[in-house]
Amino acid sequence: MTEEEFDTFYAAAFPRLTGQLYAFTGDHGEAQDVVQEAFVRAWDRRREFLADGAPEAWIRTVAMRLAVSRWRRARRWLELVRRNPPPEHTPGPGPERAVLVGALRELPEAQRMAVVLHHLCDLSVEQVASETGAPVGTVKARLSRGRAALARRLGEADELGEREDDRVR
Amino acid sequence: MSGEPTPGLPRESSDAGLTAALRELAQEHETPVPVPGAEIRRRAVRRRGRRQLSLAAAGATAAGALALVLAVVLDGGEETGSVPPAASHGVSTPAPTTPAADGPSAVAAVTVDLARRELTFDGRSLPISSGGYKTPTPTGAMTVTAKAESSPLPGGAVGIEGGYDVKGSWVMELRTPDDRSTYLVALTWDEKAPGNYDHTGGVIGLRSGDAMWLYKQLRLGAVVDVVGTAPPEPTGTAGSGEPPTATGSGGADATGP
Repeated sequence: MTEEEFDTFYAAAFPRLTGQLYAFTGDHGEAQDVVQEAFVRAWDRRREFLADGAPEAWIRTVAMRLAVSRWRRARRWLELVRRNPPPEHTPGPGPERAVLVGALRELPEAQRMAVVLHHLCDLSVEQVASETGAPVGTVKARLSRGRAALARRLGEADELGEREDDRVR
Repeated sequence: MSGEPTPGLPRESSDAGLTAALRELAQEHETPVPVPGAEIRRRAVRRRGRRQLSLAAAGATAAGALALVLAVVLDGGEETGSVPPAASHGVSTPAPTTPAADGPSAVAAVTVDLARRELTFDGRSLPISSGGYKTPTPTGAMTVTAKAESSPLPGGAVGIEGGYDVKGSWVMELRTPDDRSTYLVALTWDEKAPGNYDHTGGVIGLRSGDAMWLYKQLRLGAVVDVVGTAPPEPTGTAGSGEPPTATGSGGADATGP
């Protein structure tokens, strides 16, 4: 991979990956941080990165691991305590999104990762299993628990709206 | 036709719905590249030389601190049952995010007035020290999202020059309305600062005894309303001889002739 190829890949994949990582972390700064760090590592370890054959998936894996790792916690901690963190440039989610983000955040990390990989990043259950190093059965359980928890939370939030629908009907 | 979703209880429909919702969410939050690819490559190259050193120094202590904080989050989360970590404890609104500063003021049990360097709670008023004008403390209605009796803090962070680490006691993490964080912490290394001058890197510092008391009172999810702006530099106390009048940006550090 030449420098130009890397730069092109980076420019194309970065936005998409930060969106996915946002769904996983629920935090903009964090999503951006870990994706950026993953790209730095990709260039640093070009051989490993290229050997994998699926560059975007490689980046995503590294970014997700970073997001649950001490690296992220350490870095975040330093940033937060030291100075005001970099400005969050997005207007923030609308009410519906906020509910989803909140519900996702409440999921245990393993469930959240399974849900995001399977439902957002289109990985099969088997792929999620190999990605996360968990048996297929465990992944299935995580997915169904995660989905159930999300449905419950989103259902609660919907109730107000639904009630109005009922009245109309 | 067999699996018609019941209104209000999305089951079969939830898979497709979930995927769609997640996609939208992710799409909305796509971020344009903050730095060019060349910069990423440059960092990777620079990294090689410095990697071990910086990670060992900064990572180890801070990671320990965070592991502790997170452990407390988990404990606390179980205690308080279904209270979401970032939501207001005792508030009945279903919204998981804290309402902005114009929200229900009755809920904000704790008020921090940066201008008066004062925290009021439960009829008591405690002196505080904030980030001052250089590294201002964020304001707004915040929620306590984590607590740790003790954890190492990087010194530069909380207002100590030189970069060595200090032990932070009675640390309470606050989440701001715009999803940033700051901390309430005991200023064990500068007990005179609270009420007198603003010395931190943005955290809200309390005297040790006060911090301990507050730590025991506040539960995860408690609302802390931070208002005002720090007063200009005090006359004299700091001893650095800076002009007391509010100087323009950046003019103060070059005390010329």
